[in-house]
Amino acid sequence: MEDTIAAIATAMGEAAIHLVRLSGAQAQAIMGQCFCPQNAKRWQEAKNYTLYLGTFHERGQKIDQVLVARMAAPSSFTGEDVYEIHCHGGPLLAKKVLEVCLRAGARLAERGEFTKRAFLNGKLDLIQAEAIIDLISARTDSALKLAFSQMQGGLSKKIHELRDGILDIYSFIEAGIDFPEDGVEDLDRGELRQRLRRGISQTEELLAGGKTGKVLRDGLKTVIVGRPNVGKSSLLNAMLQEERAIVTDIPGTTRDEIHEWLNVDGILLQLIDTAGIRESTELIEQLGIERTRKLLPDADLILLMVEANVPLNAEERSLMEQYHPKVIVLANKCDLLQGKELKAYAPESVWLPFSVLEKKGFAELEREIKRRVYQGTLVQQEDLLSNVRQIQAVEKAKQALRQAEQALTERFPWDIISIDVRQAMRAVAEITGEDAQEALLENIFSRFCIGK
Amino acid sequence: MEYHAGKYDVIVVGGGHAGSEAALAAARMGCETILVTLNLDTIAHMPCNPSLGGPAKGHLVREIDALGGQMGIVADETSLQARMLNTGKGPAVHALRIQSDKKAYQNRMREVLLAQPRLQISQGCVEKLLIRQGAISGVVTQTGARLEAGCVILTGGTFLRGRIIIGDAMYAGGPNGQLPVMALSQALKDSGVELGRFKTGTPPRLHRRSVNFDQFTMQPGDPQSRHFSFLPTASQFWRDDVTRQVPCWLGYTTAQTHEIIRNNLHRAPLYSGKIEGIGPRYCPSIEDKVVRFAERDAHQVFLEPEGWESEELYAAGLSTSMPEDVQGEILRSIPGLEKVKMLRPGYAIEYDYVKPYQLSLSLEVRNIPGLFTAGQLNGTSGYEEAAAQGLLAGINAALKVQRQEPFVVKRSEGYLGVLMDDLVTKGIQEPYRLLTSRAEYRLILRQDNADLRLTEKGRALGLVSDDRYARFCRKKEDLAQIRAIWKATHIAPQRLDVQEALAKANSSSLRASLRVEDMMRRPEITLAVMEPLLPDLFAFDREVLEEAAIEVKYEGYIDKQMAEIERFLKLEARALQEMDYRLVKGLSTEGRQRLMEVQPLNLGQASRITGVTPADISVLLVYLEQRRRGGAYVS
Repeated sequence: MEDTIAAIATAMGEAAIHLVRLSGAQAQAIMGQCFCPQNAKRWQEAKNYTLYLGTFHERGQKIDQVLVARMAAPSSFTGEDVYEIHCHGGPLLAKKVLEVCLRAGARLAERGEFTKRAFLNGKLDLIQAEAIIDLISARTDSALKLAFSQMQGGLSKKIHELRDGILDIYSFIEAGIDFPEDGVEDLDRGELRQRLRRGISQTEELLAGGKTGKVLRDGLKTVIVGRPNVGKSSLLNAMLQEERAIVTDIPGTTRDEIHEWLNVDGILLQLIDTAGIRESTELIEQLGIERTRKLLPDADLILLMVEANVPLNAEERSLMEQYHPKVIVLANKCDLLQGKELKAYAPESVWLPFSVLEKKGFAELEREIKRRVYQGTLVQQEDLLSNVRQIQAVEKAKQALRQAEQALTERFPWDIISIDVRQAMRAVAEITGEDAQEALLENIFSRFCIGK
Repeated sequence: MEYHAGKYDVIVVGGGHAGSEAALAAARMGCETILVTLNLDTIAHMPCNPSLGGPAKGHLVREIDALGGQMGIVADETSLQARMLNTGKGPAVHALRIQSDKKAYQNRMREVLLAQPRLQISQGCVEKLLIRQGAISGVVTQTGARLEAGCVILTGGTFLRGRIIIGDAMYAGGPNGQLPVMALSQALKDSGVELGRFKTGTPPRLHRRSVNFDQFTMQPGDPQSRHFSFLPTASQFWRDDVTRQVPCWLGYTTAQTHEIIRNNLHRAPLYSGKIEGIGPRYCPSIEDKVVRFAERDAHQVFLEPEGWESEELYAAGLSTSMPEDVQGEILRSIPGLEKVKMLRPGYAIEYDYVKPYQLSLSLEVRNIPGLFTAGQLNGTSGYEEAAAQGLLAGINAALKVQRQEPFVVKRSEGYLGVLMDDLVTKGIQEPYRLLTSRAEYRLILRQDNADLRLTEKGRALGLVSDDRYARFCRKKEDLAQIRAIWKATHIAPQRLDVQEALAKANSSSLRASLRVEDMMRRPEITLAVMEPLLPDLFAFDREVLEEAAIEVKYEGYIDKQMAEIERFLKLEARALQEMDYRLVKGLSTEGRQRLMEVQPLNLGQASRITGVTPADISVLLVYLEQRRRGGAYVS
């Protein structure tokens, strides 16, 4: 039986309605777990090509009101049972819906996998095969590994700790089994329980980070500061008016402070106190500055807009010094001067020549924001998993460790417990991109003196 | 001068553990077979430990036996002591190890070979491969004997361009003072076979009478009789009187030992660059252990008897290629060996091996139809791994002669399958040793059920005798019957003897009536607890009862692994033809190259090749569908 796969079918952040697609033999069962139809009787009839209104939930906890489209095998795009979940409320809810599907037993679809299945099930004609192959081969299989290598220090450290912990448990068990006469001391069952628990709480910590992760859920707290008339509001308006920069109202958030949301190529920016900036005609020394100042320590990102041809004042200099790592200096009106002089302004900060009028520098700003997010220089206060695949892998590791603990409690012997531990190791190895078997042998031979 | 020395179906070159099994299997399957060995006196020789089995290796011996191979029987018959290892670690990893009398083992195996109909044994050294139209057609020996056959199985062990290293002494040689085989490497290379170079080593042998055993701890055999074979066998030495088993002895190196080694490292070939071959990580020399684990102040030394009447002891744990004089010093620094007489020095041996990616899963060299390679020649280590390959090569050569499909054991069916698939598909960087942790479905591949997994297959091949088959069928029936009885029988809470036994086993008391099966599921309820309570239910063979108990106790996990196996088999069922992967658009560069090299038999094997990515597999799936619909060769 093929896995049931799931993915967000719409581009992240680019629409008010998002579509999560499920395909495979267990799709129906998964929907049964997570979807509570308004009209249960109609749902029971299970007609094809029908829309159903209802609540999407995880173990009773409501996530969103959704519309579900049902297309049964073989009359669907993929030829398998397909469900499409239409959720309102922005990209984050869609992500949440997807995660629930994954926890309920689906697997995250690989790139081009729906199309591949459609082709393999005879739903697409031969002409499209080439295109599918292109799609698949464009996929970077090392994406996870890449994501791991780009992971920020704190998070990478946490993953490493988790991995080392699991690998050690695994190594102790396997070395004891495969080299019973090499003096590998047997792991004490109490000690094993402690280690399993440590692993479980490590996964929980990582997952908690993954769920409340700022970038994912709330966006990066971004404050635009600058002297009056430097061009803040033009910048904001220009950014918001960009066609792909869709502004979404997030209900339930603190309305008085947060006004605008901005999607920069999948990264959510939470523009704080933008109303203040918009209205702002008062001098920087005046009323508004107090509020802005209070926001700065909490901000993830500060866009300091200056005029390229005017020297920095003390205020701007101290702001740059104080918040150095999270400041991007936008030197507006760069069309008015040569870049040389500009550099002298703020050699210690990242600055970007900018021109709101001439629409110069937007692409560079976007790139800089992405660079900082992916390299982890921005969100240091919290170690979070931002990659759904990584979250799924950690989730798998957690389940496996729990089962190992369960097996331990039920007094199963080592060969049984090791099945679950191995599972956990394989899940973590997916993130780190290693071969679990090789990692095991490497660790056994470096830790234990094997060789009778 | 060459002379025509006969035409056979199968020629087996080499009479070690691989060669012996290969020759027996081919002959038993009806092929006219000849085994050419360097020396008739060293057939089935064990140049290293005088023991067989242990984790994964013991499983292999059971599987060889279940298929109708010889190793298990001969090991049982020549056993000095037997021990089941890992008994506290769960049924999947119980592993039998048997110390065998080396000489008796050789003699017994040679008798079996000599008694085998359709099998001829001949002493000689094969130097040339005869190749006709790209396929093997025979071999020529040093003395000019030209033997012809459609299938040739090479089992050259560590003899190919063998080189012995002991300190600064270095000379061409095979294991244990035998001659090396120098010409065959070139013959293989000339035929386009890629060779690599590995190294392995062995410890010194000691005179028993020079050892003070007071300084060692005795390691006796098990208090119950243990056997590899599913057939009734007994040791020719201790019969089934377990008290007569020969013990091993455990001692330790000292700080002084390590000091001696450290002081002489400049004379150690391992560190002076004299050794080029790659050695196994799991079998380091004592000098390697002392260097790498500098904080340890003692390493284990096991003294193992080499024979029932032999004065020779094998010093396991002291594998070394240090100079002979240093070896003596090392030995004398070990408590109990102060006055030891060294009978043979330890040595390292370097040898050529055939890189196994060139083989198909049936052990046939893909570019030279009819040529099979097996055993240490394929880069493995261990007698058991060698015998297993020999058996499979023998079977597949015979099948080829009979123009039948190859016999391939899947990873889900046996360690035989894990071994073969690892070798061919994953490739090897060091001498390969089978480990239980290499098996994905370890809980299914237990040593107790090797017959249930494989004997039916052996029967179909013609390797399983009527006697063996009848026993197997009875076991299966008994097993089904026991399971049925356990399911159907309820125990009432009124039975005080039951409640008492439960309390004694720290198990909760019965409130309502309970099926025997559910009772057996409780981890604390063993056969020993149940048997006195239900004597009539347990009137079966002990071994079969244990089998049933394992199936019941681990049912949940077994079911889970079976479900995994089902998924595994789906990809395994998608056969791949030998093809030019350069025509498949969209494969990764490395994936394409590895697929060309390995030419996997099915998609499952393809997916396990190192360097082949999941995306490559997806591309292949689409390509195959494209081709099925007749539109693939457009690109």
